[in-house]
Amino acid sequence: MDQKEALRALDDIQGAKEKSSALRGYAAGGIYMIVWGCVWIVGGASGLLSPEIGRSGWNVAVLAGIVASVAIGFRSPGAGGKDVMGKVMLTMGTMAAVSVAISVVLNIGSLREATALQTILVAGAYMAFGIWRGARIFVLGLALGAVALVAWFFLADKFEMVVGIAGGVILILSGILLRRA
Amino acid sequence: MDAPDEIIHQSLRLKIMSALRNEPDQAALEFKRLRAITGATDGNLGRQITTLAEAGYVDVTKDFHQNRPRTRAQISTKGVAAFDAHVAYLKSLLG
Repeated sequence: MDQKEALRALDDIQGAKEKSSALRGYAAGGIYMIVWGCVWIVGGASGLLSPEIGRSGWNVAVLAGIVASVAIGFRSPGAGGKDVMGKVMLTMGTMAAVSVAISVVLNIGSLREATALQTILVAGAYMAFGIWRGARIFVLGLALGAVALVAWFFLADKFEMVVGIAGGVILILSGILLRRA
Repeated sequence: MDAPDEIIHQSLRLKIMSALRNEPDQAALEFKRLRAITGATDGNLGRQITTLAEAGYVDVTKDFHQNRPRTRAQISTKGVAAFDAHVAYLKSLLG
């Protein structure tokens, strides 16, 4: 065996490692996407009843999503480890806190603006997470952000419903696909 | 080690061993996951896993999961040692 062959073999080893890590990340991340897809659908659908119920609906759904995500993270050893999942949950909690802080500072009053802010922040978080854990997660974040922007500019009167249901369905389907990876 | 491990050296078997070695706590990997990682056909993948199992480098478990047959492979202690030694040999060639 010469140096060229050794280099090629080490490249094969590295390639298999990276693919394996990415697929493990997809499978572990799938359940969180399903949970957050449900959060999106419940939050969006509650806005159809009335703006007040919609505001409370989003808050309750997001809180339930955070609690469920933390619980899943700490009950799934081997899916990246409790430490990693704990950090992921901490990141999501931080995103929620940032979202609330921005809403207060910018005096965001309408449900539409609050929904847009949360959707874009979460889409950005998925994209950032995807850069580290796999391209598919990045693409999902991009799709969620695109849905939010399209709905914002072209479907303003149905924004909450579109973002809630379309975003939720995207996340749930993606979560199922990722779990099968 | 002054020679490559002839069993691990083959390209597909090397990828299989790399994927299994990369699992946290050396957990077992499902056949379909190994197929996705290596891009191999079912037949070829099955043959190479059998070769690795015969050498004692992997343990193969067949069972039913959600009413479907499932095959999983897990790197053995002997396999970990052989793979690590093979990687060390490859690196030694590069100086």
